[in-house]
Amino acid sequence: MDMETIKDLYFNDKGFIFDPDSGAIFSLNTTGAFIIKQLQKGVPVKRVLAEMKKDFDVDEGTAQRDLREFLDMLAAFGLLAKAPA
Amino acid sequence: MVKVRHQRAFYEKPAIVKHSVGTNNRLGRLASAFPHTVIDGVPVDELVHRYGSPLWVVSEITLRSKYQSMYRAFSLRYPRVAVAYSYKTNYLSGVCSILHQEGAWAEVVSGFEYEIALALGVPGDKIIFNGPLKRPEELARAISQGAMVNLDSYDELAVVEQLAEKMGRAVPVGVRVNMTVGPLTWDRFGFNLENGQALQACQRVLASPTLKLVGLHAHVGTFILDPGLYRQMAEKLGGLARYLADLGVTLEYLDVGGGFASHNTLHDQWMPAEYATPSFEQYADAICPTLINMLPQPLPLLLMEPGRALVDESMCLLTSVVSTKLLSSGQKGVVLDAGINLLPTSVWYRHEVRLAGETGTPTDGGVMEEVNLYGPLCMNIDVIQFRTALPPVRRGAVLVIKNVGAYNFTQSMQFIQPRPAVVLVNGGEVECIRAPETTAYLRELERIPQRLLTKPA
Repeated sequence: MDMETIKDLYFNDKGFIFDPDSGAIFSLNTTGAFIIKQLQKGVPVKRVLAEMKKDFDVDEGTAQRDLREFLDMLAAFGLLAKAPA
Repeated sequence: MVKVRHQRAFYEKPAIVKHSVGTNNRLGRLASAFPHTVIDGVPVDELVHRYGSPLWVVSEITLRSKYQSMYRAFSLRYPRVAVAYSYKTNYLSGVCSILHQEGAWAEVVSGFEYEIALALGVPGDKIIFNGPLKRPEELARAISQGAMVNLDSYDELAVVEQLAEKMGRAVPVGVRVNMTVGPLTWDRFGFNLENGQALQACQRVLASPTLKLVGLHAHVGTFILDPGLYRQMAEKLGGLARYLADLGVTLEYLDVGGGFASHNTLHDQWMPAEYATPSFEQYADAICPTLINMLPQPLPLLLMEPGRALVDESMCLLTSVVSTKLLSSGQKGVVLDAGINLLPTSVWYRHEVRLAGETGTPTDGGVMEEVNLYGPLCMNIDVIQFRTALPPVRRGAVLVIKNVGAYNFTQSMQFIQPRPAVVLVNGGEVECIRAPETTAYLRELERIPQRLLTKPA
């Protein structure tokens, strides 16, 4: 779960994303925006998890499961950068 | 120096929603973004904690106020009215008892329902006995107890006539009339008006030495959103009554049936229920003045047989999220612990679904996800709703499925899972009105031939 990096996207921290490749737009909730912001800064996924626990009232297990599902959603929407071969 | 502990922010499951053209409209239901945390003063979490999940919850206050507003709407517009509750909609004894306390009569369509009404103390002369199957012994009991019997066919007419001869007295009966009203053409119940059968049936009763024609009954459809259709029905039924009056027949009652819509939204209905469902006043305005203007004095008793319009909104189903998953289509799936076996009406309706717990609403940075709600049955048909907009949910979250009081409990079944408890809430108090089913209860009626229990040698 540590390999994902996010594509280059237009993002503002109110939770708006524009994907210039596809033209698709997305909304995020506060937690989702927090994660994207971390990923855009190049923070590795393991550290994102630590940051989530620090900033939000959430336990390790829940945050881990939710982060995994969220990354799967990003992948399904084509928002993750392709891993280097 | 006092060390201030870093206050961590409210956590909501992270969510991302893709926007697509054409999925929103100006009547979009933002309401589902807001949690439904309390039912009649009782926290939803507490109900689930005490009684488990899933759980049916009946709101006594809602049920009583529904009856009162319907009765008020009609009794203000017509001098003599009675509201007979349609048992098939939901014959939980607790539900029926509340309505009978309010003054409702019982409308039953089988001997089985008739027995529930009797067990609840409803006197025979406050029971309307309708339906295509009334067994001779059931008819005999109903007649001897003074119930109103509405004839469905000539075969039934003949049975009642024989019973009357045996009893040696005149038996009062009503005739069920079917008709075409707008797009509604239910012609399988009773006798048709337009082709003359209904009048013939009335004349046949009038010609009988042992039967007495005392009423007419119609029930033209179900979930009727247009009050104008009731006006047409009242004109047609009133026309027949007027014709009979001219022949010298004094009817004791006119029964306009049910079919009144509840605050639910059909799948193919564009306008949601809060805009589309008429009020009781609108229905009464369509029916009452029409009859008053047509009928001679003294006016017969006006009977209504509402079901869903009284009970639908009084009941909700609490259900918990079992798991969430990303489907291969890219859609999100949410598996619940309540399935289609408890909610058969999800085939007709887009039920209103709300999250019971705390959530980030659009006003504080939250987003709504579109998810498919699946039940727990290991069957592909077990779908409660497609594309439901909900705040992000995770395992354990409790959902409130609203307005499920009509045709769900009575049509639910023990399929793969037994049925859960039903509780009644009233002003902060909770009482169990039906215990959860157990395996032993479900197997009680089964018998295993002894020879099947011995192992072959």
